Amino acid sequence: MTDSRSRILDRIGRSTGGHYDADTIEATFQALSHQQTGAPVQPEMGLTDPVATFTAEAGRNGARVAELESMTQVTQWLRDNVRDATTDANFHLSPAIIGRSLDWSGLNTTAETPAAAGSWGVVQAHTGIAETGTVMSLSDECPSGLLFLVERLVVVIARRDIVGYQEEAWQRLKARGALPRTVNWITGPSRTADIEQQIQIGAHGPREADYLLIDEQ
Amino acid sequence: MSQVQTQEPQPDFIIRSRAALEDNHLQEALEKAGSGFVYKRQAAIERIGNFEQLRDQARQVRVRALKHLDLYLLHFEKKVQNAGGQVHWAETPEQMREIVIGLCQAQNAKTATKGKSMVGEEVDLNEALEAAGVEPQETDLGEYVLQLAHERPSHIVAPALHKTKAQVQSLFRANHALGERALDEVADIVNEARAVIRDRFLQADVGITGANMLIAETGTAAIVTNEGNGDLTATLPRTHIITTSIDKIVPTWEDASAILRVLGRSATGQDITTYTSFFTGARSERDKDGPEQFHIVLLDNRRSELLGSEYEEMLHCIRCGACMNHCPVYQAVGGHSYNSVYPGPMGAVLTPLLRHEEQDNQLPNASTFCGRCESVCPVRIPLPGLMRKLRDREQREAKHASVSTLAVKLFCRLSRHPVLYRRLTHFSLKLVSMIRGRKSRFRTLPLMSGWSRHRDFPAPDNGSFQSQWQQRHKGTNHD
Ligand code: SF4
Repeated sequence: MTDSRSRILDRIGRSTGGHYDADTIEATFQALSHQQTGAPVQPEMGLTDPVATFTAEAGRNGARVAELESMTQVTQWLRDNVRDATTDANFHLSPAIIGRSLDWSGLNTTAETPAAAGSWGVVQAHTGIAETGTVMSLSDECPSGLLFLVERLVVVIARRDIVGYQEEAWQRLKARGALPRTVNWITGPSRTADIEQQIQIGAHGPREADYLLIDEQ
Repeated sequence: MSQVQTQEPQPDFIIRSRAALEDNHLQEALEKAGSGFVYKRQAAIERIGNFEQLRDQARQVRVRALKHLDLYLLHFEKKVQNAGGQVHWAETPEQMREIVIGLCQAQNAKTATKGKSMVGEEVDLNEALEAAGVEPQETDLGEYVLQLAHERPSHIVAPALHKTKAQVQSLFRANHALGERALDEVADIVNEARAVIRDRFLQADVGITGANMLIAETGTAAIVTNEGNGDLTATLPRTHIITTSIDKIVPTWEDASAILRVLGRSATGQDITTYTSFFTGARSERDKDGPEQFHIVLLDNRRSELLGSEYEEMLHCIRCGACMNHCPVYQAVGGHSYNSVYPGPMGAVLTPLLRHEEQDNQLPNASTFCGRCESVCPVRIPLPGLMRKLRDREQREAKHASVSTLAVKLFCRLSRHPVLYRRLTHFSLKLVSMIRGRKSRFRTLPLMSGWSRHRDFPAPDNGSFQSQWQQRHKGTNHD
């Protein structure tokens, strides 16, 4: 299909006037993307306090936000909330959470593929985006599948990791170096409106989304 | 499971529309969906102060992306390769099918889970996969319902918009051997689909999704969804294949933001969808999960010919569906009347340009030119203007001039000769008054059965506009 490739590019080139060889692509791309038109246009929504806006927007999009003080309170919060749940809970932890040596007594943690009802995922977000109440997770920190296979997803997020707008999240991402295979943005629980346009929460992904805000040094 | 329609659709938009107007299930479904999209979009754009500026910004991104499309595609390709993925180029639907099947066979794949991909629909991928012994398994709820019903999508965002809840219930009862159970609530239906499809995610050999954007800067494909099926399809199997088209490029991540900010608001009235996912290449040793193989198949299918043409702006389309949600014609006759994966105003422009079939010439006429599509399009595509150009093109190219073309030509000539025009109208009116006798309305009109089939035509009295004007001004002083 190399011929298709060159024929498609030829036809495009007739309109763009571009003739690029492999060596100049990078330099031309850099030059062009630097002459971008001005500053980004961001939604006007009175965003002055990222944590406050994050909390409000996440709530509007169906996530529950809990205000905690530190990571050590996370497992107690889980114990308190499991008591209200109807099924036995199995906890699937992301590597970052496992690395924090928290007190898991009374909570059933497992490394199996989340399947049956009662599976909870506990992960830590890389960044929170206030603009839309969104959390960002990276597949070199947390397996992407975990975010989707559990019934209830608990995302821990440090207040200092919450930024205002999307552009700031890109800056943090680019500053890390090579991109992970998957960057996930999650805003609330999974949903569908495919049956008569009625919004139904809990499609293929989690039915519930909790964001726990903590302080970290 | 086959997606072939049970009946060959009528080759005529007018005939299909008439059937659609008489289809009670369809009318019920359209009624229920109807204004929901419109109100949700309105509420979403009112929550922020500068939606019009966001539209301008999104449009600029699309203009810039197309201006150097080849450079961005080449940069994209290089970055995908650096990240352990491969880019494939398909000039035609047939080539895209061959490439995807080749990739599946190289993996000895028996099953492929599928996320929603309009490009996949454009090239009839499911039939081809089946014929090649790979079972396609749709996972988006709407697409899954349509796979059970052997039907095509009727909307680019809500593919099963034309199905009522009752129809979905009977499809589930007929296809899932799950015994007696309640399926009355939408929640019951969604839960059943979730349970049936969950295992397929875990067992599929290949996952095939579409893409909403391709970010040239890093070779990243972005997908926006609400259900989470797209991510399970992209992440769990050992091979992830993306079927998309060359026009989806944006230069940078910041540009992707400009599109995302108008996409969800215009499509479903969400400031962002539940999931926005960015896939760059295959899983590396640093990644905790992800597919070992990653392929992106780019379809042209005449898009490159539109670049630099008077139809180039159609390539700005970000597939939000707002134009069809606001279109009185689409809302009356539904998506299947267009007999194309791309219905509504955007389809009325895109289908004739991509497919070049005789029947498509009717589509640009499927418009009242009310202009609502253009006024809501997030990237400001002048849809009515493009439809007008296509109408002109059709008339120029028409092998045999139709009655309507002849009539318009005749009118053009006449209008340039006022005296002749006056005489003729005077004459015709006399003729008309002779025919009608004492009737005040006509039930049928020669050559105008399309009009008179559903309504009577009022018979004119008192002469033509021009003769009445002259009469009145005889007695009045005009200043
Ligand atoms: S033409 Fe405009 S409104 Fe219609 S789907 Fe495309 S972007 Fe959306």
